[in-house]
Amino acid sequence: MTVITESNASRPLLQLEGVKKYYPSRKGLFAKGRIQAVDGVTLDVHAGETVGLVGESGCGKSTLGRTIIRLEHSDAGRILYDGEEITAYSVRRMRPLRTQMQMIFQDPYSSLNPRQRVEDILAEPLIAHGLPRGEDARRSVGKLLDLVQLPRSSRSRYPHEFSGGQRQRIGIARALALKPRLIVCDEPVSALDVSVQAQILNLLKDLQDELKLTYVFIGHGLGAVRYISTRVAVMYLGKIVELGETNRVFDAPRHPYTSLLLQAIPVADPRRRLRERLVLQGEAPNPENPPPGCRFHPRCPFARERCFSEAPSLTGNGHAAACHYPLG
Amino acid sequence: MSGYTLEVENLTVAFRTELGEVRPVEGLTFAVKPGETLCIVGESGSGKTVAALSLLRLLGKNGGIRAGSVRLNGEELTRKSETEMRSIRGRDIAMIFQEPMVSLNPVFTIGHQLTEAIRLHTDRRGKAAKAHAVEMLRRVGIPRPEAVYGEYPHTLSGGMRQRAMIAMAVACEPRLLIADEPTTALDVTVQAQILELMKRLAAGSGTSIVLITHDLGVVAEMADQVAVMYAGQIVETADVYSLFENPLHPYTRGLMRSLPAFGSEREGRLSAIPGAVPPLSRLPRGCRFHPRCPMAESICESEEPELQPAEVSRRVRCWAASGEIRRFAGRQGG
Repeated sequence: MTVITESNASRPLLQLEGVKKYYPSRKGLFAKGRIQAVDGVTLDVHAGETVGLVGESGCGKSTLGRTIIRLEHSDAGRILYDGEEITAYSVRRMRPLRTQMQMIFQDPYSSLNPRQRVEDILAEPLIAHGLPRGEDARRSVGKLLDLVQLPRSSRSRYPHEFSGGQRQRIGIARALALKPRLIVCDEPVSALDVSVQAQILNLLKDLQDELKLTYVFIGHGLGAVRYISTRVAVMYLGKIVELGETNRVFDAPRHPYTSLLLQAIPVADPRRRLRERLVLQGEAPNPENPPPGCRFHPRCPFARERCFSEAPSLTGNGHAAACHYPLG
Repeated sequence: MSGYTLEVENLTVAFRTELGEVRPVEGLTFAVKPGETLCIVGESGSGKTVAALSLLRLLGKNGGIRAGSVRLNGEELTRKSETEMRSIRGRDIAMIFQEPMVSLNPVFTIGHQLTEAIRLHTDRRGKAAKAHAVEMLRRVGIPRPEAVYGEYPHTLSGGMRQRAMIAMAVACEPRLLIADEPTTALDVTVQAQILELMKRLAAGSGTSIVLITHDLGVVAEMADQVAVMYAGQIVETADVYSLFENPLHPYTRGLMRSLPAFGSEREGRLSAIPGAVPPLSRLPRGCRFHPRCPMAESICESEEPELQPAEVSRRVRCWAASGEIRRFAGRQGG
């Protein structure tokens, strides 16, 4: 159990200030372009909460997730973990912190070594970090399997012997091996069958309560994000355009993009199929060459003069939106 | 004429494998009227994709139709020669896939591939074929259709490729369009556009659609009729309104309950279906769903239920559900 002292109860576990991540783009031999995958994200994540990241593909949510735990270098801005600035930490200096931040991936099959038995997969992070070996490691593996509700007999089996949902349980167990405090979940249920998604979402929620975990949950399925997140950040072309408590964002979105994104979700009720709704037209523009002003203006049905030239900043207490003319 | 575009009766598909013969699809029965959309819903391993491929007889050299019949406008397809099938594919039945790059040839331009299909299956030639191709690209909402006509598939985004594939599929005005998870790889925003487009095309031309999906939201938006598949069999068929109002099969109910509710706030745990879809090589005895079923009784472990008529124009493969109905009918009679 983590002891919550006064200092870490008030201070966010993770603080991002103006974080940017660029990738070089290959336009031609000499023309150098860059893709602004994450473009100035400021976000606090508090201990014990789940922050959901949503947006269309290419919005930068996965890159942000990887940058947060320093799997990617950021190009600008500051990242603070538990009050300690880790932005420029070397691989060696990150090492002791690595145990505290882990990641769960979308496709557990491609992230598990097919030639390793489950017990070796789960013991590897322990050994890599100089933690228990031998009989102690064996006991730890047993406990990890219990935590993710897999039978202890799974230890001597290989990944291909498991179903997709069970493999994701192995992926989760591996992430838990080092007793992390922060886990970035990158679309952990997107590749799973509907009936199995619910099992994994329930498990993630139980583990959070039991182990006092903090999650950043990157989601494709907005239903899953709504279910698991305390707060939600909506991203568009590398920027957060709306941030707030989950139910407020979903029930009364303030940014037109959020509203249109939510209206695009098919509703599992045929009586509502003729409902009035706005269909968001077109696709997100190329992040290499984002439009001036508000990045959403070319697709926004409510765009006015000011939106064409002036970029809005994320404003609002509690429920923030980056829009000159927010809804509601 | 039967009044149906497509009638599938008792269709069983078998594949030879190292472990012996497996039957990914067994005893499939459904029918689709002109202009109607039938959704086949199921999880991975349910057999829904094999079912779709078998309608086109695209089962490879190890697979084949073992029993049953597939009729297109009353004409039996299972006995057609491969040559005859080739002219039916694309002209009478078109198919679109989850990943459009599978069916778009990367070394030919979009326009080349479209006009080839048009020349093969219609009387249009030369300029007329090109004009029709450009018109199709415009109709599926591709901006700058004349320019896209000359471009290669890799230059298009995922959503645009899927539109191009739909243009190709509907260019010859097929009677039947089979769409296998056409929007699964796309963002919800683009999905909404593509679904709109498919609805409009079906309404305009009377094309029947068989839409395969795992997403109950998509079913609710698109279907007239629904067939729910589990482990190679249809477990329930109904019109879309009845199905969502009152799902009869415990599997359908489980699927619906496991969705995180959207319109309303919901706290607490999701209700999950325990376990996973069984592999074809290890199908359980009796009802294939019984190991995961909260209502399973002893009969379910030993006897396989038939797909029984339930309410008006509904069918369900479940001892418990049909038992309920019998008891209900008994009360009504007395």
